Amino acid sequence: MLDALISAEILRTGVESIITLVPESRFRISENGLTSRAVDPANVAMVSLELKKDAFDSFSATESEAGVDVSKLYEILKMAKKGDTVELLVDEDRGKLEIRFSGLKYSYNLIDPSAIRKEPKVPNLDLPARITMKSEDFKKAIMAGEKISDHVVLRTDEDNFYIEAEGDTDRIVFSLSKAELIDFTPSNARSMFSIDYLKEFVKPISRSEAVTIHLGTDYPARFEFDISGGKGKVEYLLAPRIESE
Amino acid sequence: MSRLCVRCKGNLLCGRSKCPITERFRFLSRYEVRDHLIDPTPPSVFVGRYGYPAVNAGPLISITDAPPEITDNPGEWAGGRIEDVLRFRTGLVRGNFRVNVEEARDPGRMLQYVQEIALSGSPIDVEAKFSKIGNNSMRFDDTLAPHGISGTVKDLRVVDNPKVPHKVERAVGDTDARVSEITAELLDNGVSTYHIQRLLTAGLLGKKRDRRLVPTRWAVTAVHDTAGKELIARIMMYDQINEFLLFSYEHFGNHFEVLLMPAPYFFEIVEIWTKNSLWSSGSAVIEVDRERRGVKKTYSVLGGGYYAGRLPVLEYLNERKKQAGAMVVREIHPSYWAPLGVWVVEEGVRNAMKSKPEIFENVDQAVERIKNRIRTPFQKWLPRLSMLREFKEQRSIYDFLNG
Repeated sequence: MLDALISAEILRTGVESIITLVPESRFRISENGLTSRAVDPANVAMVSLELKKDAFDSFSATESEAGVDVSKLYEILKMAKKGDTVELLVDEDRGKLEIRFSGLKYSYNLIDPSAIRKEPKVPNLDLPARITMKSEDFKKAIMAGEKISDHVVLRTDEDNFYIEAEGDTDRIVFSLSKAELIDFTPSNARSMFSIDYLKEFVKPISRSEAVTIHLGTDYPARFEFDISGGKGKVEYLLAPRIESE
Repeated sequence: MSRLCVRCKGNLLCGRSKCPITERFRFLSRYEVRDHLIDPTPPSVFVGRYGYPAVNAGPLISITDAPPEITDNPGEWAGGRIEDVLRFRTGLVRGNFRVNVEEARDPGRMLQYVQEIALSGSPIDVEAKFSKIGNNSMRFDDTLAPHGISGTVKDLRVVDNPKVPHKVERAVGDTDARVSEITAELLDNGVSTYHIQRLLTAGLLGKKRDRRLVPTRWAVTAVHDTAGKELIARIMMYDQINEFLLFSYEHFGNHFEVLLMPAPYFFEIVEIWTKNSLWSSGSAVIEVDRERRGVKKTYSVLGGGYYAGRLPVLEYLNERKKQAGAMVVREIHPSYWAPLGVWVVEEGVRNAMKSKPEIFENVDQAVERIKNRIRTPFQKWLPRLSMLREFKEQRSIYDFLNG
């Protein structure tokens, strides 16, 4: 059971981060806030969303789990204006989710959580390189890469971070030096990823100032960003592509 | 003659007034046509695209002794010879009259007869009086089967009772359902894509207020695409296959390999026009297109053949309630000397899917087998298959869960 008030923008960014991978997810509700974790149907990417109690203007909850059609919720939240506050009610006993904002009340059925794929454990990964960069830089690099290829290489050496894309006849390199990054833990790391996923991540990431990437070699990468100055947090884990020859 | 020809396939993108490739076959038609016919229609109707929304529409009428039920039914042509197809088609006379596409909702007498023909599941006799008979030539198209002589009809009558399959009658009577739902439902009920295309072109499917005549060329691809989209939505809910299945078929100088892979749905097709084949010249021309999850947003560079080749793969998966990633290799040899229409792809892939698949444990073995059966060196086409490459390279997060 959850009865809360929250800024429409915060909730929308949170929901947007999930629908990039799945249309339905499980909301875990506790006294500390709301979390949700899901893996896309191809098992390539995982999203973890955390909205702390502080992210809400008012928050009253009891420990519970609810299955939510998040793509429907997102469509409704798109109608909210900047600055709107949303009342969010999740009532598993009645099997209903209800939201209200600016005179609009929308309610629909929850999904039995057991009908939604069980959320996975978060793998424990040793990722030596850490890069914090402006979201707009990340977006620019991915959009450029998409024009010529369906995959990009993320790479670090001791001094720089690179995003590289290679097409049949063309090549794009986007590089940022230590000084141009917000924060940098250098290491020699290199992994390749599908742009299809990264360009989906870019949408919610660009609602935040910065994104932090944890990178290894031929290993999954973790992309983290804050919602509303750390009151909420999103983590994406993306499995790499590994060249065969 | 080059890459442009492969994409254009006779649509005059080169700026010439006539296509030098399709012009080669103008000599083929040799029938004399009388100006008053009482003969069977296969059944077949045709709606042109020129002048839209004021278009030419009318039946195709069979004037040879070839059994009428096969002359407009590509499902019967698979595995045959190009000469036979041309013989069937030159024996069909197209009777045209001018009509506005919107009249489909409130048809005049002649258009009513055209709609009756579209409904029928078997040949029926028609009487046509021509005011003008066109020149005696064969017309080719990248999408449609070849057409022979056409003329202008001043009077048209169906002199027989159309035999309308019950499923068709119900679908046409449903004036609330969307075209995508109704086409998939008709396919589920065993109605052929060719009959569904006939219903759509005659303006007999979909919501009442949206019904209009649809130029046959558009209707062919529209049925492949809308039914395909509906099947994809279903397939995404099914469990993945757990082995690699390889299907193969060849007809009319078109060789097909279809590989199904244990993966979330995707579809990728490569078209290889070997050197000196119909639309290529000194070297092979290769085109690739693909889609994954979601819906394909832009019209394929491969044209209608893309959607025609996708549908039978989706039918196979839908019937078995399975999900898979699919890759199709179509290699066109010089023995495909006249363009016959996208049914060559549809029936080629459909017959491949009916063959007994070879089963492989991994993708490399399956691809090795395909390489052996394709004449064009694999270095030219294999690297272009980026979905296949992604399938091989993409890891799952579960691969790292216990690491």
